[in-house]
Amino acid sequence: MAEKKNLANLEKNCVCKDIHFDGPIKLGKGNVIHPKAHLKSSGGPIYIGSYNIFEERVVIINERNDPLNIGDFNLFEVGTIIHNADIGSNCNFQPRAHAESDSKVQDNCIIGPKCLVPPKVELPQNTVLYGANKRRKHKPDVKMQQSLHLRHLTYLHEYLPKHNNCSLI
Amino acid sequence: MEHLNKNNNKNNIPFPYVYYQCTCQVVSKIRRDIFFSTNQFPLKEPVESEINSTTISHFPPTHFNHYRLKSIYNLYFCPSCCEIHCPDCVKNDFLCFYCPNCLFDVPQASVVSEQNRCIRNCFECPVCFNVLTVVSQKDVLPTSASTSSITDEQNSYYLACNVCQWKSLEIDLSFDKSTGLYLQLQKKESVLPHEVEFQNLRNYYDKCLRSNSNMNSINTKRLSALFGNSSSLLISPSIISHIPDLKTKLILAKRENNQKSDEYNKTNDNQDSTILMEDELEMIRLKNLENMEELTSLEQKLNQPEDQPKFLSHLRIHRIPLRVKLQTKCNKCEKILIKQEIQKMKKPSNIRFAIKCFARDYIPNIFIQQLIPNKPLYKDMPVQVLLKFVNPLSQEIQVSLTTLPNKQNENENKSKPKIDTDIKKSAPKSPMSPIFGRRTSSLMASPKARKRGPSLKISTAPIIPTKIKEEQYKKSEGVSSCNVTVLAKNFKIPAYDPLKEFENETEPTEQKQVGIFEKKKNSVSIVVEVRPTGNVNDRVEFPILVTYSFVNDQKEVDNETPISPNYAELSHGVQKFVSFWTVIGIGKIVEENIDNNKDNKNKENKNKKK
Repeated sequence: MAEKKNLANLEKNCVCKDIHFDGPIKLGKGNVIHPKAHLKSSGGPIYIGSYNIFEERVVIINERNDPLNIGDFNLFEVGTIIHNADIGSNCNFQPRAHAESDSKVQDNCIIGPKCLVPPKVELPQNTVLYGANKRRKHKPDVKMQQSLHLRHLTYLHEYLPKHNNCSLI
Repeated sequence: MEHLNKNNNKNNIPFPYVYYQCTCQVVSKIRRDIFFSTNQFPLKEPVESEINSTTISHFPPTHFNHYRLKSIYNLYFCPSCCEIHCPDCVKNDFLCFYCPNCLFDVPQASVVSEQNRCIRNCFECPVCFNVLTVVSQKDVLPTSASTSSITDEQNSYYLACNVCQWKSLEIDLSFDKSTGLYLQLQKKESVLPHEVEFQNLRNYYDKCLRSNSNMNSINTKRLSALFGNSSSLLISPSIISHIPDLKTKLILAKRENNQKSDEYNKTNDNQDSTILMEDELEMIRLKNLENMEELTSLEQKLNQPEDQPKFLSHLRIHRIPLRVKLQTKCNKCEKILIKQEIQKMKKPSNIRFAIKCFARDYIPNIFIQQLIPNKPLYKDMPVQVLLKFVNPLSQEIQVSLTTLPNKQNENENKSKPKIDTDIKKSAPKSPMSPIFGRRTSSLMASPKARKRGPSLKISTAPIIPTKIKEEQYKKSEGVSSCNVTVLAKNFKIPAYDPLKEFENETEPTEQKQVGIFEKKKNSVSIVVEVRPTGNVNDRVEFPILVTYSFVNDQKEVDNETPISPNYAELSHGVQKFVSFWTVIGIGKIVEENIDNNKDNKNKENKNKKK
């Protein structure tokens, strides 16, 4: 019940004006995009889901003709680069993570800091990438993660417009 | 031979570099020479005491790799014996033990009793070996109404790893309180089979020991270490040797194969049957594996040597192993080279040094300033290298350089470096510039050095390398020999004055010496001409012997007898000599492109036409 109330407050996207974007991009509901993010598509469109958070210096590039799909409730931390890669829901890309071309990241994954998703690799659900190219499966605590994510989102919706030039799309 | 070269390539030092040879390399070469000539392997001490400038000059570095040569930032310098030391020829002592997570300084008594692990609540993740954090289960479900089911009586804490997201709930481990985790863990672990076995054995041998009349011979300290859990047994395996009964029983069992003692017979039988059952179950489980993710890696198994589990669910958590702060001492004179500051509380977070004797504060630092011309190296094209010598001392130093004899000139000249008498007014006769190229005994060349040092007890004079060694050096593959000419073989470098560091340069009025490019506040740049004479893709590396001397105004106290034969007593102080080999690597010889030259000519023609 409390979650539903929270979601209702976040219908609009909070997008900072200082971002670079190019090409056809579709956003869902309630996303937050921090300044200095880059969203470029020289090929097909980019379809972004709802309630995602894109932090500073996040680069999302789509060079192929197929559309690039990003799911819901993802957190892309500072410096993430996503190059022609499809991404599911509930993922957490920690700072400076890379998803190389033609790879696919499924739901509930956690990509550790400075970790690489190799090209043309499909990461199964619930995997954690950590250290120097190590992988393991973990049991995600979905409820805890989602509630944490929602708290993050509401906080950002409240405070980001106070300190940056934002537009509510 | 090709695969050998490939292995060697890993050890090659990347260009461009200036690396130094430590005196321990010279010592090991001398010992090897003595062994080959006399078939007796000499001890270190008499050889080390014989080391002086002339002996070092006869042992240039032959292999240019990371093991034999070190960068100046990795070297130490002992001010009393005036010698370079590398991390391999230095003694280390323990200074303090600390936990890397909580930075708690552990007293040495607790180190032994707690098996080198942290006393407080610091645990290590069994999967990725990072620190575990204590998480409360109540925080997990913040807003749902079902929190009433979790009361204070139930377990509410577990450990989680932030790196690999491992949770101790995966091995069904949770705690009642957030403090005193190790005690709670010990209670749970005491039920495990290997713990039970250890406790049974310990109880049995306890009885034997107490009934034994020879109580005095047993080391009570070792006994007290037995009173822990099974992991204490791994720390000192010699405990077993102190239990008298165990030894005798093992011997008896070996001798009397037919007459087996009752106890051993029973336990063996039981173990055999149980082991077979467990093996079968494991085999079935392994066969039905879906993927490799359930299995442990070798590192994870070795971290838990008591039972070495194959499955991730059998891994247990351990406390973080302690780390150590070291103090380094010179091998010869036991002088402390590096010591960290110990205040009253011995804080491990303190990173200041009380004593630090790094080589860069005592030895002239050598840098490659410039390559004239700044193009890739071609065969037989002379290149001028500007080497900059920086003096870190607060006294003026006198530097003299020698190189290996060049290929062409080997048979003709016996290159004797000339000593400029004008500059060296302060220093009287000194055996500084070694006479290289002569195949005579170093004993003849420098009588003073001979008198000072204690004589080697072995009759042959093994300080000079034999002819075979010289040829071996030149045949090493991949390294090109080069003709190196140093014009300025002797020069002075002024002292380092911190007060004048930010002052502007004044124009020097004195005439420049031949071969010196420029002189600055405490540095001198000299010109070295190098002509690579190897094949394409050979590495151009050449050694230079640097000998420097400086004068200490204060006279040495009479109690301190000079340990090394590198001293010269003067009227107003003591002059100390230090010599070492440096290897300078510039680059690889590149194939000359004739096409490039043609292109350049075409471009020139086009420009002319315009």
